[in-house]
Amino acid sequence: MNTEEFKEQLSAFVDDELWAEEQAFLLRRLTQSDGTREQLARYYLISDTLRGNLGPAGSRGLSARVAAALEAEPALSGARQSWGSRLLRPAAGLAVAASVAALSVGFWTTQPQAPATSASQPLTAGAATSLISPANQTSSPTMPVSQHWERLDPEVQKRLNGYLVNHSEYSAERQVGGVLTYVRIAGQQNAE
Amino acid sequence: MRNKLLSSCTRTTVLGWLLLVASAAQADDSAQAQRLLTGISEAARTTSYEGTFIYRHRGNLEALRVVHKVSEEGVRERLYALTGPAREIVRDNEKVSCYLPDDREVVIDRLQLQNPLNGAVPKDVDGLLPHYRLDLIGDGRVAGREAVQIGVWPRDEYRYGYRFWVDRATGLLLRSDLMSGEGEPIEQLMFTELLAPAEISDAALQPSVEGYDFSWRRLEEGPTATVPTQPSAWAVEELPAGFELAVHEMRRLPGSDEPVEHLLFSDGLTNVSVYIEKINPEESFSGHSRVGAVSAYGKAVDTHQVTAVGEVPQITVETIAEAVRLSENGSAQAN
Repeated sequence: MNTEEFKEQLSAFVDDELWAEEQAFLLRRLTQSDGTREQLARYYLISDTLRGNLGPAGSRGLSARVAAALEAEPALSGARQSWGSRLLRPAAGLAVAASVAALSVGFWTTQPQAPATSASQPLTAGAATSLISPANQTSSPTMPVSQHWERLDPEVQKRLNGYLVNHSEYSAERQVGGVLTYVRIAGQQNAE
Repeated sequence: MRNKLLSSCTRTTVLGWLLLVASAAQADDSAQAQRLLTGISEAARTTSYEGTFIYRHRGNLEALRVVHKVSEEGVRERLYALTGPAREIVRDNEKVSCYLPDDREVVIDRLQLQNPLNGAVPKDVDGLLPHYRLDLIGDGRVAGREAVQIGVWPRDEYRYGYRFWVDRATGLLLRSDLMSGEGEPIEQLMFTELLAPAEISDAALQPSVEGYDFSWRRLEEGPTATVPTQPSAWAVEELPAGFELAVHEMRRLPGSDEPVEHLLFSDGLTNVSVYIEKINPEESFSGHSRVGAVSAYGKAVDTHQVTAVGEVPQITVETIAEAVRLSENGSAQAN
């Protein structure tokens, strides 16, 4: 986490926009760094000033609020917070799969593009299932022929990783009590 | 002569009875396998457990630990790697948090509460039978616990097979082998230790990574999936037998400026997702790839990228992706 991200995190904490999990991590960090606590105190001061909450005794409540927050750390772990206003940066949400790095979707074979046809039925919102053609007319498809392998462009990898993570949401409940899908994320450090 | 005839009749009768008994036994085994299969998901929804397991795929071997707590608040789970980077995944009823120390990031992803497949593992086992054969293989032992081994064998080349070891005491899954068409394990997961204590502390569900300087990423506020508001420009035809459309929605995915059309196909046990999104032609991609047991296949159609991913053989993702085509009026609409 760089300095700007940390400042953003502190600011979000002051605005009560952090998830409980993130609060717990931040508060643990605060307990170990005087400088960080002072930085947080400044943020509270700024926040109170901007909102007109600063009483006649100046920052009288400031230290108490910080202390109270620190003391309450264990209790924070179960608290529910809003998703907040800090949005995911573009492509950052694929970090799950990005963490899986090249292991996730590393290589593609080149493949000739199949021509589109116009003899199909359109999908319609909410009622697509009934419009699907019967599923039993499979016509002896052939396995794709690999031509040569090449490493994916990083942007393509990110896109595919996003698909993988999203698809996992739907598969998680169907396999091994939900474990296996996430095992692929947590346990693949040396995959292809 | 008469004796010979009688003897022949007797043999035929005995053989007939034996076949009948064998057939009945086979049906009984299949029914028992169905009950065990259905019970796996039910056990996971109702049983708290913690244990260590190994995960093996394509020559890689990893050890992980899982803590799974069922309470009035629902199911909460913590999964963390014991080998390699200390990745942890913590999920509850509404979100999954991925702690990724090797990337110094934490990713929080909100789960789809309306996921129609939740808890449907598999809802209709009978519906699987045209596409899978269920076997009761016999007794087994995993992690020092008595288990029953069942087999789920595909009847065609479009899906993988499974071997499951089910804990006799709890109904939990102790071991899972995903099998290729050649009968080779593609992906294996096996508990080496499993306990089902009456109580699991909340502390055991807390991540242990320090993460002081991690970046935190999360999806934006608001629903990430919506029902399409207009007819799709895309049509689906010639799916592999047994696969049906289970979900059709517009998704907001990280990294995509516009909503992505998501089609989820399921045969009751196996899922394949198709994602369709508008894309700069220079960024399109075509071909196959694979991660673990997940296959992926992409193709470009006009200005769109169509990609299928799922825990299926390559031929299945390709067939399904190729079955998704622009409809008659779709070309103008899609552009």
